[in-house]
Amino acid sequence: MVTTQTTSDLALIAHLLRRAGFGATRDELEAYAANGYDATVEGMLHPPAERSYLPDDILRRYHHDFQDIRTNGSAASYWIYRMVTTNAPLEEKVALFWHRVFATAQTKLIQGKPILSQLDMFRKYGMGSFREILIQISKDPAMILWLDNQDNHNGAINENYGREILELFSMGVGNYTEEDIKECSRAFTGWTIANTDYMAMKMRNNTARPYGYIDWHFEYRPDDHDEGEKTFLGKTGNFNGEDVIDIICEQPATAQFIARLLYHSFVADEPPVPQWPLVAPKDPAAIQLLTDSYFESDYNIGAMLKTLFTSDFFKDESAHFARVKSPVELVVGTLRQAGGFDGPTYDVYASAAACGYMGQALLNPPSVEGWQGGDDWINTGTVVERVNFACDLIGDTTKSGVQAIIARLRRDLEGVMPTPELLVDHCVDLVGPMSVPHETRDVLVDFAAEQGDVDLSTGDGEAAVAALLQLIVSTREYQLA
Amino acid sequence: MSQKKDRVLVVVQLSGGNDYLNCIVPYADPRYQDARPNIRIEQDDVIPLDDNFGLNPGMGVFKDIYDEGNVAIIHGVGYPVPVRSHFRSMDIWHTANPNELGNEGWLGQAIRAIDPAGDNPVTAVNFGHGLPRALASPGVPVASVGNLDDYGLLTGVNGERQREQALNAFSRIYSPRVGSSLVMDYLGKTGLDALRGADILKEAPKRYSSTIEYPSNAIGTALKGVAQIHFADLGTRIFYTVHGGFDTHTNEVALQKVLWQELSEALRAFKDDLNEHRKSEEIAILIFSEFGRRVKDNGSGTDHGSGGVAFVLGDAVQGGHYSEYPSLDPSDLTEGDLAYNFDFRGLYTDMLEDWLGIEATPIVGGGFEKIQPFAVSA
Amino acid sequence: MTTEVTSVMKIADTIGFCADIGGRGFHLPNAIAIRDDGHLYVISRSSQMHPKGTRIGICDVDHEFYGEFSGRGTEPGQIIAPTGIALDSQNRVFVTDEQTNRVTVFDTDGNYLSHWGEQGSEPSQLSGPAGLAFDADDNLYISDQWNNRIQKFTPDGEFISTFGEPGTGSGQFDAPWGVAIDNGHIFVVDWHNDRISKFTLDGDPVMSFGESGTEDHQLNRPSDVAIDAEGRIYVADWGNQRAKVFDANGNFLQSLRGEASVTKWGADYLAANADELNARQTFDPFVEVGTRTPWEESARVEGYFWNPIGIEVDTSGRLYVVEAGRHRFQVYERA
Repeated sequence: MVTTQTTSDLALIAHLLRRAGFGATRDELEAYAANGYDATVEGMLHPPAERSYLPDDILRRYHHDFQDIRTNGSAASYWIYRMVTTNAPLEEKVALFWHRVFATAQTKLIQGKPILSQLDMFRKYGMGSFREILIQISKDPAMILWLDNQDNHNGAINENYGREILELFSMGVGNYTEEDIKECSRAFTGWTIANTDYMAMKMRNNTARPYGYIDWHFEYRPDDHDEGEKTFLGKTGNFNGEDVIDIICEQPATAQFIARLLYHSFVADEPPVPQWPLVAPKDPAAIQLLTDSYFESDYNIGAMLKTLFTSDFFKDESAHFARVKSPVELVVGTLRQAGGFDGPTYDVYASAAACGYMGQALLNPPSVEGWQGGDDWINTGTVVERVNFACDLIGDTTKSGVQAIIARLRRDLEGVMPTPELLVDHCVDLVGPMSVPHETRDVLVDFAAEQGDVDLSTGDGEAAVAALLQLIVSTREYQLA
Repeated sequence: MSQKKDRVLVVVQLSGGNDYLNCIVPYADPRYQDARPNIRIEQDDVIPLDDNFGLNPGMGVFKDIYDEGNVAIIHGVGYPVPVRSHFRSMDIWHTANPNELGNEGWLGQAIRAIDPAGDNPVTAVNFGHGLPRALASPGVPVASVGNLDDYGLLTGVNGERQREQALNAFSRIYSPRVGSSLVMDYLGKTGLDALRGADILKEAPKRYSSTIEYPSNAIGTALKGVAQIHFADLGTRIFYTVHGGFDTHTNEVALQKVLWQELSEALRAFKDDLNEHRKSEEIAILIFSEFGRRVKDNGSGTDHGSGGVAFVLGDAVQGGHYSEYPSLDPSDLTEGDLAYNFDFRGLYTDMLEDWLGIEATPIVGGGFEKIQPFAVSA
Repeated sequence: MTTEVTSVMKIADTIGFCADIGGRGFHLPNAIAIRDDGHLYVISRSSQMHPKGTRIGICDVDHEFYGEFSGRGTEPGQIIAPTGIALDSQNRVFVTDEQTNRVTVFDTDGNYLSHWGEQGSEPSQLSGPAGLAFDADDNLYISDQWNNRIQKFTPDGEFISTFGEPGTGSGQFDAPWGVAIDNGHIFVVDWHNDRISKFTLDGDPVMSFGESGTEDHQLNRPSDVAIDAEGRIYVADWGNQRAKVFDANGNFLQSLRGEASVTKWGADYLAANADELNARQTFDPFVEVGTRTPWEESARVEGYFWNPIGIEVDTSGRLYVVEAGRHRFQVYERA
C-alpha cells in the first residue's frame, strides 16, 4: 500500500519518538513515517539484534575513567553516550523508566559500576516478563546493598527490601499487611552478595583504596535462608523469593500499579506514587486496557507498551506535548537533534552534569521513591539551566544536526528570500514538528523580522537562523514532550 | 523588633572532609604525634594559637582574622552514628536530618520562613552550578550563579543586540496567555521569575566599586560575588558557596595547606571589602565540612572520619574556642575517629534563631544545645 | 585446550594505590617507562572528574615514591590526555598527549623543557599521538593514532619520515597504540586490528601476529608491547584483561591473568583503617564470579588485572604490567 506522508503522520511519529525515544531529527522522522506508525512501534519494541552505539572499546580508550567507571560523573556520562547514539532508543527509554521505578542511587552505593550493570539488566529484561524483572532486580547487587538485603538474615530479618518490593515496586500501599512484609522479607533471606563484609565496609567508608572499587555479584546463601513456612498474601508454603514474586505477579493490584507506572511515564503525568491509593487514575479506561494486556501477555511489559503506543489515548492529539520533559529527555533529545556525538567528546561530561543541574542527576535519584517529575522539574534555577543548555547547543552551527537543519532550509527555500513568517514556520517545523500558539508565533516572527533579510548562503544568514532556533528551543512548548 | 538591617548568612562548605587534626593542630599532644608519623605538622610549622593548639601552616592569614577577635572555632562538631560517605554525610548536614533521607534543605526551609510567598527570587543566592540540597525546598526560588559577570538566560545567543532582542522575545513568550493550561501558566510564571532574578543580579556588578583585590581563584571570585550582591541591597539573606578538594587520602600536607591559603586570603579580602563599605555588621559566615578525618594517617594522607571543626565569623561573633577538642585517647575514639561532642544541629539553631531570627525547631527537628557565638543576640 | 604452556614469568610484587588527587600512588595509570638506574616513571592519565589526578609519578621497585610532576592543563608543561612515555639516552622524559597532539619533554627530574607537535594529517603533524619509543640513535618513533601511521622525528621534533596507512593489510594500521624498539626493529600494537606488527626501522614489514579472539594465542584490542633481551614479546592484551608472552616469532608462550596482593602502600592504608583490615579477613580477592566476560570478571576480582594497559620490561628481565582500573602495576620475574 502506498501512503502519502502528511503533516499529521509526521506529528504522530514525532510524538511517538519523543515518548518511546528521545526525539528524532527530521530525516529520521521521515524514514520512520515512510514505514508507517505501526511498523515503527514494532521496530522500536523489537530493535535490530545488532545494537549499535559508540562502542565500549573506543570509549574506554579515550575516556580512561570509563575503564573503572567509578564516579557518578563517569557512569552518567557513559549512559548519555548510550542514549544519544543507540539505534534502540526505546530500550534506553525503558531502562530510564525502570531506573525511576527501582530508583537506586550512587549517594549510598558510591561506585558507579554496579548501577551500570543494573542498567544492562534493564536493557536485557526490561521489555520482557515482569516476573523475570522482579527476580533479576531482587538478585541485583546494587539493589541488594541499596535496600540492605545483605543484612536480611535467617532469624533476624531486615524488612527494607521486603517492604519496598511491595510498596514501590509492585502493588502499592494498601494491598498487603505489615505481616506480609515480614513474610516477604523472610523469603528473601540469604539473597546477598559475595564478600559481603568487605564490600559493605568499602561502601560504608566510601573508599576507593587501596586498589579501586570492586564490583559486586549476587550470591545465594542457603545456610542463611529461612526455610520455615511462610504465609504471604493468603498463601502458605516454604516460600523462597521466586515463590513470593509469583504470588505478587498474580495480584490485580500489581497489574494496575504497573499499568499506572507506564501511563505515568509514557502518556501523561499522574500524581506522585504515594498519593495513588487516594487519587484515582486520570484515565481509568486506559489503566484497565493496560491491566488486561498485563494478564493476557503473561505479565509482558513489551506487550503492555505495544497496547499503550497503539491506543487512541496515546495517539490522541490531546496527549501530544502534555508532559513536562524530564531533564534527561531534554538533554538527550537536544543532543540527538544537534548532533556531534559521532566520536568521543569531552562534552559528554557537561551534558551529564547538566541533567543534575536540572534536577535529575542520573544514577543518583534523591530517594528510593525516585524523581517525582511533572511540574517538579520546573523552578527558577532549572528553567535557566534548561533554556541555556538547549540554546547553547542549537546555536552551535558547527554541529552536524544544526547544519542539517540549515541545509534543509536552504533546500526548502531555494531561490526565495524568506519572509519572517515563512522562516519561523519552517524552523518550528524542523525542530519538531512542534506547534506553537499564535501568540508565541507572533513573537518569533517579530524576532525573525528584527534579524533583517536572511540570506541562507551567508554566514550572517546562518547566524540569524541559529538565533531563531535558539529562541524556539527556549519556548515553553519546547519544555514539553 | 527594631533591626537596623536584615542580617545575612554566608555559608562556605568545605567539600571532601577537612582534616580537623591538621587544621586545628593539637601539636603538643604526643598522641597526635604518634598518630601522624607521615603527615604530622611539626611544632615549628604550626601557627600557634596557644600552648596546646595551632593552625595549619596555610592559615597564616586566617590567624590574622582570628586575632581580630571575631572568629569562633567550634570543636568536635558532628552527629550521632557517624557516616563516612561523602554523599550521605553531606546530605545529613544539608537536610539537618541524620536519621532518615530528608528532601528539604535546612536553608531552603529558612528561605521559606523569610519569604513565604517567594516574592524575591534572590532571597538566596548560590555560587556554583546546580542547587545544593541545603537550599532545595519545593517552591522556594534560589538563584544559582556560576559566574555573576555572565549570569542570565540565553547566554548562548551571540551578539549584544541579538541577545537583547532574544531576551525581550523570551519575556513575551513566557507572558500569561488566555486559556493556556496549568502547566503552561506555571512554566510562564517560573520563566518570568527567572528572568527577573537574572535582571536583578546583573545590576549588582555594575553598581559595585571597591579598592579590594580578591584572589583570582574560585572561592575568591565567589566571595567577591557575595559582596557585590550584598552591597547592591537586593534583599538577599542567604549566600552559599563551596570550597572543594579536602578529600586528602594522599598528598595531604601539600593539598590542605593550599586550600586553606586560598580560603584565608579570600576571607581576608571579603572582610576588608565589607569594612570598606561599612557593611560588615550584617554578615555572619559559617564554615563547615561533612566530616573530619581518621586520627591515624595512612602513609601520605588520611581517610574518612567523623568529628570535625566548624567556624563562625562576623563582627557580632565573640571569638574563641567553643565546645571542646575531643580526646585523642585511643579509648575515647569511635572506630578510630575523633568522637563528636557537639551536634551540628545546635550550631544551625544558633544561626537560625539568633542570627536570622527564624524558629529553628521545625527545621532541625527538635531542640539542640547552642554555642551562642553572637555577642549581641537577636 | 591442551596447549603446553611454558611458564616464563611469575608474580613478584604489586605496587600502587588509588591516589586521585596526586601523591603517593596513581590514578588510572596507563603507561610506564624505566630509567637506566631503575627509576619508574608512571603516567596517571586520570580524567575530567579528577583535575588533580593527572600527572607523572616517579617511584622504584622497592616501593620508594620520589614525587611527581606535570599536571592537567594546556599550559606548557601540562598535559590533558597523556598516552605514551619514553626516555631518551640522556634520560629526558618524553610524553605524548592524544588530546593536545603534543609531545612534551621534561628533564629527568620532571622539569619542563619544551613541547612540539601540531594537529593535522600532513607529514609531521599528529592526530592522537599514542605510543612512542627511541632507537639507538635517539630518533623518536610515534604511533600517530588517527592518521594510522608511524612517524619518525629527531629528539627535537624535526620530522624525518613516516610509514603506514589505514587498513587491515600488511603495512597498514587501524588506530595503532603502543610501540617498542628492539635491535633495529619496531613493534607496533595495531589496536583495532588485534595484532602486533614488526617492521624494520625504515618501515618495511617483517612479520605480524595475532588474531581477534579470547583464546590464549588471540588478542582483543591490545594496547602495549615490550621486548626482552632474548627477543620475547610481551603484550598488554587490554581487551582480554591479560598480559601475554610470545616468543620472538609470535608463538604463544604464556598468559597472565594477574595475581595482585596488597603490599606496602596498601598495607599502610589498611593499618590506618582497622575496620577495613578487619573486614578484609573474610575477603577472597580471587573469588569465583558468575561471569566469563573478561572486563566484568576483572571488575569483580581484585587480584586480576583490570585494564592492563601499559607493559614494560627492564634490563634484568623484570616485567611491569600497568593496570588502569586498579591504579597499580604488577611486577613479574622470570619463573
